[in-house]
Amino acid sequence: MRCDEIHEHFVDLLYDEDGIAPANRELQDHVRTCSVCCQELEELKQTRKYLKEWKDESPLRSISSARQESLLKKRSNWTYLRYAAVAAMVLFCILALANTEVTMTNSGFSIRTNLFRRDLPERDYYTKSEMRDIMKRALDDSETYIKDVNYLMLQQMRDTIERDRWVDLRLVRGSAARNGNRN
Amino acid sequence: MMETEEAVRRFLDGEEEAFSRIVRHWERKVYNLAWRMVGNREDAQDIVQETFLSAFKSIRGLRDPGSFATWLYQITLNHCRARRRSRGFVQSLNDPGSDEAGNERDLPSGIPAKDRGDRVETLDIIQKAMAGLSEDHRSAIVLKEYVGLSLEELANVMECPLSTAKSRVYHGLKDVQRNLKRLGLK
Repeated sequence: MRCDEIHEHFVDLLYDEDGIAPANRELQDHVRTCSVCCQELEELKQTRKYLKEWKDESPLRSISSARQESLLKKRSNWTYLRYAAVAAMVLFCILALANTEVTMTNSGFSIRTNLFRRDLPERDYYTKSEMRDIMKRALDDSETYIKDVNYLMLQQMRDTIERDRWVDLRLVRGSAARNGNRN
Repeated sequence: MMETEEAVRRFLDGEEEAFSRIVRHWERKVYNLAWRMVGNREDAQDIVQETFLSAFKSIRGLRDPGSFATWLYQITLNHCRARRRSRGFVQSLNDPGSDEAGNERDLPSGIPAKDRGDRVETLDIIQKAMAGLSEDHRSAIVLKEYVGLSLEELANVMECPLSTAKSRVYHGLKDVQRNLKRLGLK
């Protein structure tokens, strides 16, 4: 074997992965007898020793724990969402069963349920607040009525005055015309 | 390795926790491979994250869980390549190392100051010698010398014939040897 052929097989000799195979025996014999190849092989071995000085080290920050945390966080977010959705559905079912009525007015909105409704006994009296409401409505009604009546009266008075004014005016014009003819 | 295979299978069956086991097992190896490829700890740390993110996204496309290691190393090398390209990474032998200051980090504290200084200096020279290699030679040396792959595994990771893999290792070693001489180590 020539030296340049041997160089291509130095890797086999350096790492010797296949054990001492017959093909390598030839290589080893050459290296033993050729000083140039022997020296080159030794230098390569020395280079490998230098390379081994560069030791492994631990990562600056472990991502496995960070990933674990993010997975847990992700899972807990989903869990909360699931619980919230179930709670909302349960609440919705209860409201539906209770025949809930939601009323929106100018003064706000109100919710009324009919789940435990029972018919109240008939009453033959008004409560104080009901009485107050009735009185207020009656007063309001009477006040409005008086205002309307007053308005109508004023309207009639104005019509009467207007009519009288026209009559007077016609009389004045008639007498004036008569005086003119006489003169 | 069987443990990884089992974890990959479990993850593919829907057990998300299995991926955490994979990360725990491979994180250090991926970090050290990336560090030796890009020569910078911060970049290596970023590459670890990018690698596992890529792995997480595409692991369902992995046909044979037994080839996970090869596949993961390929992803790591791709990210290293992209990182070096994005940095316009061309380092000459005379450039100062990109994170020399960190080289004292892991030396045992019991070492005398002079020896400590010598070792840091040796380590810097080795890192510079490695930085002067071409992409293929550097990958071959790192995978063979530091990751400890067999030549056949190396050929699989680098997707080249066995003879090419051997040639890259040989020429990589010769280049390192030459660089070390130029830097005064021999």
